[in-house]
Amino acid sequence: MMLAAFALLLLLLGIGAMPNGHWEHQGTSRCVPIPANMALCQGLGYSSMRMPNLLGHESPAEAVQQSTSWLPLLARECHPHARIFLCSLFAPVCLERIISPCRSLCVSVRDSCAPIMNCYGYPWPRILQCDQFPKDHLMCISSVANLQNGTSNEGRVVPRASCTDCELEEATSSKELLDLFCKSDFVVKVRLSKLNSSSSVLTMFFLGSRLEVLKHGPLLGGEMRSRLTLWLERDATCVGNLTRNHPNGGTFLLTGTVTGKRLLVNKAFSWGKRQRHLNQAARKWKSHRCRG
Amino acid sequence: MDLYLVGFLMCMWFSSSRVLGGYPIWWSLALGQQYSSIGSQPILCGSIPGLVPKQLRFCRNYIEIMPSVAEGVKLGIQECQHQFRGRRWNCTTIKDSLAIFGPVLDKATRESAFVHAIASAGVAFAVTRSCAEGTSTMCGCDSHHKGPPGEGWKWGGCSEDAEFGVLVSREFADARENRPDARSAMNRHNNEAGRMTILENMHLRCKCHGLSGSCEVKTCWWAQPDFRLLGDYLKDKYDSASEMVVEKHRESRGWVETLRAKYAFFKHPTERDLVYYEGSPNFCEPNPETGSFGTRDRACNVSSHGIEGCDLLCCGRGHNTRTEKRKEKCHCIFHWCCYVSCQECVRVYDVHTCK
Repeated sequence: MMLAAFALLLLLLGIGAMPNGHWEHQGTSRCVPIPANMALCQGLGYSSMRMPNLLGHESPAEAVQQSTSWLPLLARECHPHARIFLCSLFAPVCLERIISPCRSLCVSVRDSCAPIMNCYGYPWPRILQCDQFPKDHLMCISSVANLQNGTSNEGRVVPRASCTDCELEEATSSKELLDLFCKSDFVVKVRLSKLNSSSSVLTMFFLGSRLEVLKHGPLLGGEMRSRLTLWLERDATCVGNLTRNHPNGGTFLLTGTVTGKRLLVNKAFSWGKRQRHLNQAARKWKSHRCRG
Repeated sequence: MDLYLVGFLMCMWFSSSRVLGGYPIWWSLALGQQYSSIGSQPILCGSIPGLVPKQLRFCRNYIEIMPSVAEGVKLGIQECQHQFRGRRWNCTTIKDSLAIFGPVLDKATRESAFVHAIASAGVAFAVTRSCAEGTSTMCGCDSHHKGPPGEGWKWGGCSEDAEFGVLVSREFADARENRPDARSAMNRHNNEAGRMTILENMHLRCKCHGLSGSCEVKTCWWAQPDFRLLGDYLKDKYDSASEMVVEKHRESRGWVETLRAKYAFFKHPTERDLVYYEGSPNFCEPNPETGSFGTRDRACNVSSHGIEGCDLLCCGRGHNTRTEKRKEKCHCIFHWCCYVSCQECVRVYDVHTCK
């Protein structure tokens, strides 16, 4: 009887200790690290994102998969803040409140990037309609005030939209090549090699160890490799164009422009033994003086 | 083990002396935090009070679904307290009591009808959601996609299997409602009305895929509505609940009580309507016997003439007014990248409470 009473007491104490829980609402929103393979949103200044994101993606894998299709557009440098705008939706900053892009940022990016998308046959998508975003106030990401402090060296004029994409060219004369070298910001000879395990990473090719820089342009010595690596990761269309007839890679001469921290390949040539004009131009370039 | 069982039985006797037979004591699952997370502490089926043998067997056979059952009851109680937040009876729960609503639900009132419906719907909802999230190995997505894909879209995602959630809710919640009395019939009816609300509000949810977010490929799946929508729906059913009368019939198994609509000229209740057969107590004054807490010191809306207004909520006794200073964040600014800075402001509120 004493033991039975003791068991009853324990049971009652256990039941009485049940907390009368406060009904805190467990929202399904959570913070997750930005995945390493989300190339769109690396290096923006924050490392964790809200999930589900502002586009309704439920998992990081879904957000990564849907974000990769935007990489070719960004490689065209249609707007200096296009990546910040897209990542505010794909990988929104994880704070107490939802931080969305301001309408002005959306309009600015759309007006610059929609013409490029039209080149590929895509209209500005419904999920990015600008009137869904708030008119500018201090709690959204705007295109002028908030971003100037963080990324101030991208204050250059927004580049003009262009439909042309990089293509593998045929060298016709060394004179034309020298003119192209003069007009380009950089000229570099690279070797692209096929990656064996292409399942996890986005890019199919990696950069060879030796870079032969014919023209540095605004890039410093060590910057060329990192910029080319970034280009290799993000400009899938251009890389695809170059390697269409070279599935295992090859040696290429790349020319293009540098905008801020981005490198854009405009024209490229396949470097082979029979490329007489390329060799001539490379040799003449050492003593060549550009006109104007 | 025997001593533990003796203690448990004594506890049952102790509880049942204060509670009529119709009370689902297992609703206290919602209050036990240890029941809700399967990772931190295992569920002990024997320690859940108020389980009838069928529920006990269900618990032991489907132990990994029990956290969803507990979560569902909690969801139902939260929703009840939201829907009745401005009412005289505001779905108050009693701390440290297995009869978590007190004696207010002992009677076959429309309040009891609503709580049964919302708790039953909560269990079905939470089980269905956890199946879709993949937290249980014995259920998953509904792969029998009802109907052919429409124009321009195809099946994808995870269609929520609400039929399974409803089945679990029916098996568990109705297990103790097999008595031949009128209260059991009423509880079964209202439980089912809650579950039907979910099945009738399933909707297609779609996502766009394809390059740059264009709707090249669109996938759709069946999804439950937001639980708030179900609460709103059942609250309307509460307001229009049908009053019944009890009839007794002699059957082969003895006397059986059934329910019949009290007023023949009103629309007869369907299986989606809530039913009751006893009047609600006066919730204006505290009454331990009926379980009324009264409306004294309740916050009320001085500018409203509705049921949450001070005149009605305070039952004509009048209200007191005091000012309250609250510190709030204001003038918040988002800085790139990435933080929010706010100032702190003091705002003055008028708070009205019933006398």
